[in-house]
Amino acid sequence: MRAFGSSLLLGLVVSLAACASVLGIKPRNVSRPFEHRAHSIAGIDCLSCHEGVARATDTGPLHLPDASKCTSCHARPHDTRPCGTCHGDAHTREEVRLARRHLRFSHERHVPKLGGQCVPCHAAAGKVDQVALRPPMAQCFTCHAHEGQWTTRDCDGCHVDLPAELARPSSHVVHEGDFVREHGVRAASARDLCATCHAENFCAGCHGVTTAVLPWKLAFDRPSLTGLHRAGFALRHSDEAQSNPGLCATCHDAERFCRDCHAKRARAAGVAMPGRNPHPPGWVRARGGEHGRAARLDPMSCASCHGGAGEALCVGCHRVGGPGGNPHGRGFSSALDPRRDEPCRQCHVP
Amino acid sequence: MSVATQSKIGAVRISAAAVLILLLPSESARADPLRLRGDALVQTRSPVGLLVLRGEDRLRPWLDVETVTWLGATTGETDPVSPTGDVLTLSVRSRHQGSGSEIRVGRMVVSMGAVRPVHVDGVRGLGRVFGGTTVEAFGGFPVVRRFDYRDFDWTTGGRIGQAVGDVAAFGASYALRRRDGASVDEEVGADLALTPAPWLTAAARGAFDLVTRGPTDALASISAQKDDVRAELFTAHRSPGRLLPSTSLFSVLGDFAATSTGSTLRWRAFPRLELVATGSVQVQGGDVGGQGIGRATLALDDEWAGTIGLETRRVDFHGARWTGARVIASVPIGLSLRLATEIELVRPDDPRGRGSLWPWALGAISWRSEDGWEIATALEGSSGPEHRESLHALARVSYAFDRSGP
Repeated sequence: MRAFGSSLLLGLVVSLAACASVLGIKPRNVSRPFEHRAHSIAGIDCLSCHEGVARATDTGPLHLPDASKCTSCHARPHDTRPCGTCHGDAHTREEVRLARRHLRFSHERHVPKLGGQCVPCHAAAGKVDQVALRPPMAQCFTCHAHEGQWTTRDCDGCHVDLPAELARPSSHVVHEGDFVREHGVRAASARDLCATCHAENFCAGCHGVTTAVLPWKLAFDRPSLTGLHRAGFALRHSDEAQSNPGLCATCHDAERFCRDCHAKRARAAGVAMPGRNPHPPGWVRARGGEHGRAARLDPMSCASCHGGAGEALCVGCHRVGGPGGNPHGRGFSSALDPRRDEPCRQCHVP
Repeated sequence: MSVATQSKIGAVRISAAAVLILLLPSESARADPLRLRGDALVQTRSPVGLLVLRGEDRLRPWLDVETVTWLGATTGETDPVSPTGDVLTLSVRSRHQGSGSEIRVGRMVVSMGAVRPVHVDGVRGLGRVFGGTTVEAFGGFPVVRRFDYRDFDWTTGGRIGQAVGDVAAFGASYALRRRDGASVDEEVGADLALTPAPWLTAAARGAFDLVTRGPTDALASISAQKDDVRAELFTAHRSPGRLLPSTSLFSVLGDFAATSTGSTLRWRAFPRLELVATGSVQVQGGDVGGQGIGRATLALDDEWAGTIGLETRRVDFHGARWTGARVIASVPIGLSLRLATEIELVRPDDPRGRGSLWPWALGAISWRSEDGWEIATALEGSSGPEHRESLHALARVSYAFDRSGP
């Protein structure tokens, strides 16, 4: 038994080693960040290299030093390649480029307020293992004006376009797991938080009653996107509806949405379907049959074909005094007036 | 030409006019940023196009406008090709920068607290009163497809909420919908979201129908995350009879609510491998069932640009009993090309003459340019309860214009 366990463990380790590359557990290339700390200790002012950044607004060049700036001090380079090939992480430079594109930020307005100091915001520059030089968002919130903007969800003051920035929410609202199912619960109490990234059209894509094309249909070339209506959902939508009672009606007006489509495809009651009855034998009997229980458990399925004018079929038997008896379930209660309101009048008013 | 066709053409004209009206001031004012996205989907079933426009102006940050319009054509027996279209949203928002209070006018989806979302032509306002208190209200006419407005249809509602820092937010909401002068829904709701610790979140909402005097739907979830593992417990309680409009005859059958309770577990087992499992138990009217989903996604690169995945699912509740499997693959070829495929097999326990296996497959290829163009085409084939064989071709042309950057 012990030998078997050892063999299993060995096999697992060998398999993992063999699949290490596929699973992404091989060590990555270690980048070499720029030696900001060494330059700072040597007493070199930031503006010596990042010339003009103190006057930079949210447009214009990035003020990243080029090789000529380096060679102005390092007169005899040890390599013929551009300095930035090895000194400085490409990721950091890309981060700066993205910040320029996605943020409204003016060094010209910030630097004088900090007495010309850069480190209060770019604290990472003083660390040996610095990776990212872009200050964290929490740094911005040390200013009261920004705190106010955070409270009022006014992100446009700094962010040009949050959705385009693909910024991952820093709060607890993460879109992981089966977020499609739980998003309604989140949106219920923090709709304005959702609205910082998602515009009106995002909600209307699913919740708009006039939606003609399901959002996933437009993204047919991106199968990794999750969603309720993906793949062959349309084929088995009746089974899906049965397995999640009431779920469809939380978005669709079950009475109209289903009935309109079924009528169009000749699947509704009253539309000619010669020789075809979708219900099993014994569905309606003199003493009830299966249809009563089925209707109570899944009234939307009934409404999807028998809604509207099709309700007359039910009223024929279940009207007051009719042979079908009382259709109301145990403990039924309603604020509607039986003689005035629909649908009560259909059965209660002779 | 039929009246219906004329009304559809009219709808298209109105939609086009709405888009033009929006385009003109945006272009003439050179708003910054201005965003435009157009998607045209051509299917062998019916072609449709979706046009998304957003306009903001840096000089007037308190004002923005957006619209989503779809335009298309359907095929029928009498009219070979019939144009159609509609406006999904068309709204103008004015926002007070200091307080975050705002008012929106036009066509929009209103999602307010625990009461159900509603698509309206009307007004919505949000006021931030003091200390994290918000007051919201809306009113208008429910949207009916193809501008088919109905007399005596109107809806109104509101929510009052309170936030306690980033730790808690809770509120109470109310909505009333009337159709043809009759009350369709009248709901009150309560919602709560908690984040007591960065790794722990909880949320709940519930709605009560005042017409049938019972709970409509209620959901609650609690989730915890540590490193690469996230676990969530959830429960949902829905009353199908109360979710129907109270004008429907089927809403009077009484309450046979369905409850679903389960858990989702997500584990990033390796940097390129993610595993997700969801299982739930469902109960309704003495019937007990459940469903479960397992999904594994393997990335083909560190950026997750390319993935392959396998998903299995088992459903066993009421008359719906089936087992399914789905395989997906999305592989980038160079910087602009992408190949994708999706294959699904479903085996119903009881075919009832609808076929013993329902296969569905799609193969797609897409191309994206650096200047905002995107073209994709696909072939979709299936066999299922409705059609023994079905084959469709799809093509999409998209263009995104964004003049928001410096």
